[in-house]
Amino acid sequence: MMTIEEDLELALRAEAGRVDPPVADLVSGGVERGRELRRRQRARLAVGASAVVVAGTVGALVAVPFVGGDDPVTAGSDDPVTAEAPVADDDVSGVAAPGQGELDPDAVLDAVVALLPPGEITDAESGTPEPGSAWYQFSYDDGDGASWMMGSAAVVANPETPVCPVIVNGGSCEVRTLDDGTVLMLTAGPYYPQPDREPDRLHWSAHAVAPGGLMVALGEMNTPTEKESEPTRDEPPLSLNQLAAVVTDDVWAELTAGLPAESAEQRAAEDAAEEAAAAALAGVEASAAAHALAESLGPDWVPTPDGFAEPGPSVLEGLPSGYTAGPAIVDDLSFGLGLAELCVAGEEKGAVNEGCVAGTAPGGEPVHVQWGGTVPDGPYAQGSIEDRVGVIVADDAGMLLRASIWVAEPAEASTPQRRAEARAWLQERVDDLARAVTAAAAGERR
Amino acid sequence: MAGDAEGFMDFASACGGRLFRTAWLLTGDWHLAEDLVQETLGKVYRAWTKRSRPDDPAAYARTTLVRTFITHRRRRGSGERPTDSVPELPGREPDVALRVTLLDALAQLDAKDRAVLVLRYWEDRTVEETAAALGLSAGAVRSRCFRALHRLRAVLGTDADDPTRSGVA
Repeated sequence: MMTIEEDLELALRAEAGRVDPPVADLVSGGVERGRELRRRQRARLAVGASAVVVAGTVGALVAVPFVGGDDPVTAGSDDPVTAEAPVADDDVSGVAAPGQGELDPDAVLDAVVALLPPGEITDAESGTPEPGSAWYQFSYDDGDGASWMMGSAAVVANPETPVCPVIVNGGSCEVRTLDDGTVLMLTAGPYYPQPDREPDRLHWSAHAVAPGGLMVALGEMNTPTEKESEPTRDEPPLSLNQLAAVVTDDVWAELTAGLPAESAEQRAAEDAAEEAAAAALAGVEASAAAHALAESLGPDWVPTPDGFAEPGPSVLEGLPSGYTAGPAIVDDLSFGLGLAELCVAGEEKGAVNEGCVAGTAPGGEPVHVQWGGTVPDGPYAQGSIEDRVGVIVADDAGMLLRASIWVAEPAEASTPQRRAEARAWLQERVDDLARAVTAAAAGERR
Repeated sequence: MAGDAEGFMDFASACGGRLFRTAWLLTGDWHLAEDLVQETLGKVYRAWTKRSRPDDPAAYARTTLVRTFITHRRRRGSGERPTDSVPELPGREPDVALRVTLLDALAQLDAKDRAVLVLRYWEDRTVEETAAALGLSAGAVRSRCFRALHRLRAVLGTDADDPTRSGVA
């Protein structure tokens, strides 16, 4: 008979094995969000730069010229795209203001709808992940059943020629080259690649890649949404020839005229600028955090480049020679963790966590002190013997911060006497840690 | 695209599927799982620069995923229930009913308890690793795991007090 743990493990494996992760969507969505996060980071850098310079720590590192470096490349002022259809500024950072040289997603959406036979359009959405590209999706009903449609238009410097994927689900794919050099790929078949998964959910598509770098795609389904819906008709509404006519229409060249193709070099330069700005920001933040931490710990604590503070020579007095002391670290443990959970006493694989003891910081604030260390003589006490102490601040709003430090020495050198001296040294650090963690908490509340 | 963006693409393509499976087990909701993985990969992308990148990006991504899940559940409230399902594929496993029952019971657990079980029994992480990922003490992980398994047993109607079935460590 199997245990509940074995049952659970099998059930989780079986369930995980049933899903077919949409990896391409996950990767492209991840990149898009990552870029957005970096843009916001740079916006913060722009706001914070003057304060950092005043603090006088590493003001020279602040890469102000990079701020706003992802503004779209400016096209000619007679750009026909943006002259008629200004793009709404939905960028929360306010840094990447759309402007000239950006493909208008609404205009792209309007263009594709105008090329379809008459029908009802609902749930339309569109957007621009990059200045030179736009995507759209909507539900289209020509009167014989709603169809999910999705597609994109983009101008790229070095377009890849479409190549048919390996067909495993009974679908079809064809690539043709048109007279003007445009390469057209047409696919038709079930939406899911697995032959036994919703074989009636169909997805037909057309991709056109012009020699100049214009890429247009349109896909259609026989279902009203991309996933989790029933087919409304046997086949999608447009024939493959109709799809091909849409993606090769002249309107796309008109819409994208004057748009600069985003080149690999330009992208690399933008990435480098983003990375330099992010690295500068990370350096500024770590350095500022380390200085603040060292200052709040007390005299002779030395800031480290990675945001911590090490005990200096006078602080290290009293620690038995041969011992190593780690840097003091402030951890933010606020993500849903309660003080009671953090303070649970227990032993796990040779390390003991003691329960918390209530105390008072030098400034009078209530704190909780928690000790921990290696169990001596156990199977895990082979490499080194470690002791650590943490000072915790918790409040009713869910904030939970801990300042901690550890000391360790090789197991073969450890004696009860040496360990007691090391713990006594840690005890002397509790007030420093309490000052640091209450200062960090005050900073969080501001 | 810059060299390290390419490195990121390789990483994300290699890890995305597994992250999604974990997200699916945590949420039971296709769109939430997609959202969770994209948010996670976005955070990894932000940390992925020429000068520094996470020492172990896969571990960083897994931890980010579960933390994002926990904070997401806090924001959205815990009253939600999974809405999506993947169609049943009959004949591939011996006990479909047991799996469905167990996953249903899993979905009724508190988000953190669910995360503990998914990390321990799907990702096969140790108590210590689970504790580190969730910001819990090892003791809290053990007690949550014990309690959560107890509830699953109750749902299955097996002997909840059988001490031989409580091995958690």
